[in-house]
Amino acid sequence: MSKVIEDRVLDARGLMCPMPVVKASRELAVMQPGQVLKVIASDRAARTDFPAWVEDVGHELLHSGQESDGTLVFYVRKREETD
Amino acid sequence: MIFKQFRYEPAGQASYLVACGTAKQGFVVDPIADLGSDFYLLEAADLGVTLIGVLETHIHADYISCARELALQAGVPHHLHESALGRVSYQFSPLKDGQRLRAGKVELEVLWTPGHTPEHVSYLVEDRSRGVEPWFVLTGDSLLVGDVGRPDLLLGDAALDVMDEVERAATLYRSIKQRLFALPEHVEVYPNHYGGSSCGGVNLSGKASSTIGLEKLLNQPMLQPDAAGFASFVRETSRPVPEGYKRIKAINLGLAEREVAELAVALNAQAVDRALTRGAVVLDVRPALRFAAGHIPGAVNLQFNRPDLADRALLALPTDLEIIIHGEPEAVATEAVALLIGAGFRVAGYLRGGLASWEGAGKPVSRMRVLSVADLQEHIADFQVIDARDRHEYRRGHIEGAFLLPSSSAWANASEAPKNLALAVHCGEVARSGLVASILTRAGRNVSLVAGGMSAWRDHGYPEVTETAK
Repeated sequence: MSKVIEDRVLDARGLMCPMPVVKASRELAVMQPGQVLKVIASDRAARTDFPAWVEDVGHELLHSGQESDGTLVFYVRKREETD
Repeated sequence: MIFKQFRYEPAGQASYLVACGTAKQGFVVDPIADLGSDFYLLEAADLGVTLIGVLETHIHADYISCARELALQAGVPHHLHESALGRVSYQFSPLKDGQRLRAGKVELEVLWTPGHTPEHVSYLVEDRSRGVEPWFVLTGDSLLVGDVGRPDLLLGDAALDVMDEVERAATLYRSIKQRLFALPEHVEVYPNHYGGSSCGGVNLSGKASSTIGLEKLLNQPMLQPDAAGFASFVRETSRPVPEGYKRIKAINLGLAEREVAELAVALNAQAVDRALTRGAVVLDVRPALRFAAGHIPGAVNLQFNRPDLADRALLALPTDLEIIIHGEPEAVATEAVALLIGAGFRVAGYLRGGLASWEGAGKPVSRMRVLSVADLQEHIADFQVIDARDRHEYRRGHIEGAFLLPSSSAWANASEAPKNLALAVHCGEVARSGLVASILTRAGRNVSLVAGGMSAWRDHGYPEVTETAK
């Protein structure tokens, strides 16, 4: 895939469940539809938890990966307003 | 000139010491209770500086101020703009626009810059030992680096708020445009907030200093064509409203009491017992497995972690509870007290000496049964499984028959847990299950904690049920 450019970065390293998802939700709430949030997390559970949440709330997970130090990285595109 | 910027990272908050290096006299500006008045007194003492006043740029809504305590301890005036008269319940020394404050060769001019709040001032600083030219300005929450202080933190009481959000935005625009942007471009800008603070918007820089010239070129809200464009830009780029801000503001107005001093109070077992009798709740911040091995009866478990303990507590518990911290070692307990007070909780103190002192005083200790996932799988028919994760995690895969009780709603919904069997509580691993299991135990249920949670269940290849997403 071509390189994804994020509009905002959320550094959620060091946060415990469920804060990475809670904080990502707060960040996305103030972003524009179509904008991309990059989330960096260290909580192991985020690997499955985060994509599940993205799918549930209808945003788009563009890319996810893991750095060599175990840090998880997710790129989420905010969904268009459906209301 | 002595100039120190003190950053309190968890709140993205900056406070200041401004003093004359010759006269060794100075002012503290916008002190924060999370650092505490002793911190500022010791910093000044290290430099041989005598404080002659405590200044605030405005009445804060996102952190608890310790300006009153500091002024009282130092025996010096506490200064706010005169328009705060009648709105705060305590005495202060009122400032007028244009007034000058002197500490030896250092002079501060009061610039009334309302908007973020009606009584907001900035302090323009000159070092007369170098010349009569302003050097820097402490802008509080008016002009921030890359952003401006949000105008929408209202209490909903017109007598206390004075201006509504629309008027505040227009006033803030004028204050910055006409007062601050009229200063020479070389003047340095030192704000009250930076980085992740919710007092600014999404354009707030992580760097806690700038210059008037640079902000005129690059400050996004102020680059909007007019006051109306400014107002809508600020509204659209605001961050979520800070949690607990009404209570914090009320405390800073002197209208609500912190039940407790700003310092962590060490309580012996008798004092903790008395507090429990009057309805206080012990928040046990040790890891869940240590909690299970022995805890004060009725304690709620929420594992300590500096970056998010306060956030998780706000999600899980109502802020009007009276809380006593049980953390070990003591440094963890006192830090937890500070974090929770900073989030607006009523914290009576912490248990001195931890569980050993509680047991030593002859008080009863409760224990919680811990199940491995293998234990649970083998005896699954004997338990009602409680899943403490959130709905999206539950949908992706849960133990058959599990009842979903997310950690954020457990306090309110504990009574909804099925009542037929003993409960076995799990989450992803163990952080949230400790919270939910402890709340259910308080509610009188027979509760076991499942060590390792869903991760361990999956590692063992045990079956799970999935739901398709909506």
